[in-house]
Amino acid sequence: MNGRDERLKHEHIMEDEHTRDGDEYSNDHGHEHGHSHVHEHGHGHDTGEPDELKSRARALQSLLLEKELISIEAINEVLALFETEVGPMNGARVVARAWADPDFKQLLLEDANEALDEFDFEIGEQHLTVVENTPKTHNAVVCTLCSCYPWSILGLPPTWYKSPQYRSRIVREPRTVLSEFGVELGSDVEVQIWDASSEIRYMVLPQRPPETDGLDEDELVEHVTRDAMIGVERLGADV
Amino acid sequence: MNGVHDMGGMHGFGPVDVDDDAAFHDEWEKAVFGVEKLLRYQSIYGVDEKRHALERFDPVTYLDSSYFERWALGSETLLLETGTITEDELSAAIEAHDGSGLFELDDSETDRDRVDELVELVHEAFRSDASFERDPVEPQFDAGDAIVVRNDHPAGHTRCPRYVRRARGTIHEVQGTHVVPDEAAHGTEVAEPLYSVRFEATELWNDDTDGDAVYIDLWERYLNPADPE
Repeated sequence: MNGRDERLKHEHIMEDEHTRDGDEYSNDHGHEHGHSHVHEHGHGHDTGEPDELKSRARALQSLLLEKELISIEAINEVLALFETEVGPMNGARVVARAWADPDFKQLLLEDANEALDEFDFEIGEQHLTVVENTPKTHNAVVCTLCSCYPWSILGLPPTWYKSPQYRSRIVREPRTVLSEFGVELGSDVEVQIWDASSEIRYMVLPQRPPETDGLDEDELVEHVTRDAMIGVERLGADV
Repeated sequence: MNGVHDMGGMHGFGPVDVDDDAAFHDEWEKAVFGVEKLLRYQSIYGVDEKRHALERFDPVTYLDSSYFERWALGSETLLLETGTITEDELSAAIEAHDGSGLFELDDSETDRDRVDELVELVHEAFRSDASFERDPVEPQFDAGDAIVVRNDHPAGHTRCPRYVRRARGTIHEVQGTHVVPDEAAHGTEVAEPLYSVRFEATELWNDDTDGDAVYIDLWERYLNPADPE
């Protein structure tokens, strides 16, 4: 599985992201939020020097600061909200409840926005549609035209989701792309791709893994992964 | 517009870098994200204008820049086009900081009430529903209807990608009446019925596919009725 089968932990998601790829910025600056700095001396990935585009953008930011159209505290507040209030832990709670409660699952598939009202997510709602995997169907989500993503329940998209590679190929050769994520699908499984071209966002309801028999909703949350909710991982009996 | 952003079905990009998993790679990207949200929360421009700004980059710039570099360039374009900043102001800022690299920014010169106002705006906007659904317009199609996508090639913004044009599909679901991005990107709000449409993969790609079906949301203006097979 390319080492991608990490389980979601509410409080560790952003830390995981920070440490992947050997990124060097960390939480050691004693800032109030600990993870939301915009004032470090960043450097270009390849040359060790900030490139012209990045410097230009920083100059623009200084102009916006001068015009009081931005403030650093407000930027840090944005980042803190996106790091703490949204993320795959929201989606995992929704999936876990759908696995545990057939009535909720039915409502979720018929009207996801109404179903989400049951949760206390402190976020603005997006239009949401949830599509169900079965032993005979596998769903995956993409935005070929930009990078639309169900951020209200999955948080900010991983970089690969926003890449030309994923955007161009998943609609035409989904089995090949899924195999790059370690998912091999039988020919009897119908692969359905959801291209998010409007403001409606899509999320996959994965199959409940058989080893979760007898677990309650809170325990089930631990078995839901972000990748399964995007559709680049397949949970369930027939894997 | 038939831009390089319209990537569905393109060849040549290579395998997905499945390990490039983080949302952000560095603090610069986080700052660009935060600035973009603040500008959007102040309604300086809308989401469709933003998408169209990125689509209008020349194709080399689009492909040569990272996701957040495109955001930064897109913000600059729209701030200039909306008159929020002027070319002279931008040039002066760039010149003033020439050689400073990614210098530090802080709020020391900003009015405290203004900072509080922006922070309050962030919380309000983050928690408010941004609905694109409008008063219902009678849909021309029902679930199960056969459609063919119009072969239009507008020079402006559209959310009808090339790979579905001229293809025959089936209405999967009527999605209500939504703001049409083709108009919203150019400053006009019009709402039309929106449909989830199912296409068989072979209809889109003939034999050059290993998938089975693609579902995509298309506005009524993108569609013509088709005779059932």
